[in-house]
Formats: sequence, C-alpha cells, structure tokens
Amino acid sequence: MRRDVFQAIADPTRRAIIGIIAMSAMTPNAIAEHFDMSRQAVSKHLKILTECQLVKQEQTGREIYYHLQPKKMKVVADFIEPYRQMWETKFDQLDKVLTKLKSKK
Amino acid sequence: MSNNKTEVVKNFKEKTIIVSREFDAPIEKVWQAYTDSSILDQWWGPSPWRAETKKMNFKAGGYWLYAMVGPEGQKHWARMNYIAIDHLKGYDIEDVFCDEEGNLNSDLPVSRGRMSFSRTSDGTRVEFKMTYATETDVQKIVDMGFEQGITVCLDQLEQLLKKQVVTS
Repeated sequence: MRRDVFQAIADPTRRAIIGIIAMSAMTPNAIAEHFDMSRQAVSKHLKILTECQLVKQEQTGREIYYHLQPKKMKVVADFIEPYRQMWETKFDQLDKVLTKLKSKK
Repeated sequence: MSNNKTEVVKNFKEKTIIVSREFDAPIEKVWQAYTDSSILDQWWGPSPWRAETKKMNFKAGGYWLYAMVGPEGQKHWARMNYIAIDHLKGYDIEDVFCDEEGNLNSDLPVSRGRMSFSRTSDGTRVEFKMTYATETDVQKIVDMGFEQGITVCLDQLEQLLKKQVVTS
C-alpha cells in the first residue's frame, strides 16, 4: 500500500490530526478526544501517519506521545499556506465585488 | 484576477496573525464592502463557503451575527463585536464563536483585532491584525482556516509536499 505524504494528507481526519499535534505532542487519547469517532478509528489514522513518517511515537513515562516529524513537517511552516489561501479566495471575491461597486457610480 | 498579494504573518510569541492585502478601489468603497452586511455576504465566505448575515449593527457596541455556510449546508455561527470605529480609518473588533442566537461558545478561541484601512497610490490597503489569548488559539485559527482553505488548495499543498519530499 502507498505510504507517503500524499497518503497521509489524503484524508481529512489525518489532516486534522496533523493540525492538532502541530503545536505539541499528544497522547492517542488526547488526540481522539478531538474527534467524533472511536479511538480505534483514530489509532488507525495514527498508524498510517506513522507509516508515512509524518509522526513518530515517543515514550514519556508510561504514556506514548505522538510527535510531528520536524523534517518531514517543514511543511508546518507552510501550513500557513492554506490559511493564506482562504483569505486569498475571500479577497479575490472582494475584488469582484469592488469592481461592481465602482461601476455603480 | 488581481495581482495584489495576500500576506499572512503569524507570530506565535506575540500571539498575533496579520493578514494584509491591497485593493484597486478607493478607500470609501473598500470600507463599504467591509461594513455593509449585504456586501459582506457576497465575499466574506471563502467559496465554497458563504457568509449569511442574521443581524448587523455597525457601530461601537454593536455586532455582526452571521453564519459561515459550508458546501453541505453546515453552519458555523460567528459574531463580530464592534468595539470602536474610526470612520474610513479602521475599527476594533472582537471575534467570537457563538450559537444561532449569538450566545458565546466559550470552547473556541476569542480574538481581538483591528482592521486598518489606508490609501495607497492607486487603491486601498487593508491590514487585519488579530491577537489571541494563547499560542494554541493561534494554531486553532490557522487549523480552522485549514479546514476551509483545504477545499480550494489541496493541489497547492500537494505541490508543496512534493517539493518537500524531493528536498528532504
């Protein structure tokens, strides 16, 4: 089966997981609390993310924490890009609205 | 399509996000587009999302209650409180997530912000500076934009990741 970044981000839940652990490492339970699905289903996504090497498990005490892989996730810096794109979409719409407004007078 | 670039600067330390853009239109028109709800409804929702106004009272102490309506009809309610207004220069806001009646949803981050307008040689520059209570809130907002932005830019993200894979 395909195991690369494309596979990793192909699913909205996995994209959300990446977003959630981008700021700090989390235990599987803490991650699962963000979703309306079974912990098992979340674990499955974590397994795929691990196999895609976007996240790594690290044991701290008795808990396992999932960390984003900084190298693979230089993308985190670029994570601002979808946010910027959201604004760009709005502003392109605003450009059109302004063109209409200008032609009114 | 405009050549004007949208700039986004996030600063985790200062807990701010600044979004800025120039428009090829006079300041009066841009101001109107930001403060008249019938016009806001035409552009505030990033396609395929759209904004739908329920209540608007653009004055200090007033607020804009609206829903972001998604492609499947899902609604995220939001309220923008107007704290202070300096006509054609800027206004201070508080962004809160709420229910349909405008009641605050405290699980989600509240941001304070200032929308600033300035004349440029051939148009108007708008800068939106948002300040959050915690660094986590900054990330939450970026993630939320991710949810809405992803529908339009998965391709670009893939390109980006592709580059990343090649260079890593």
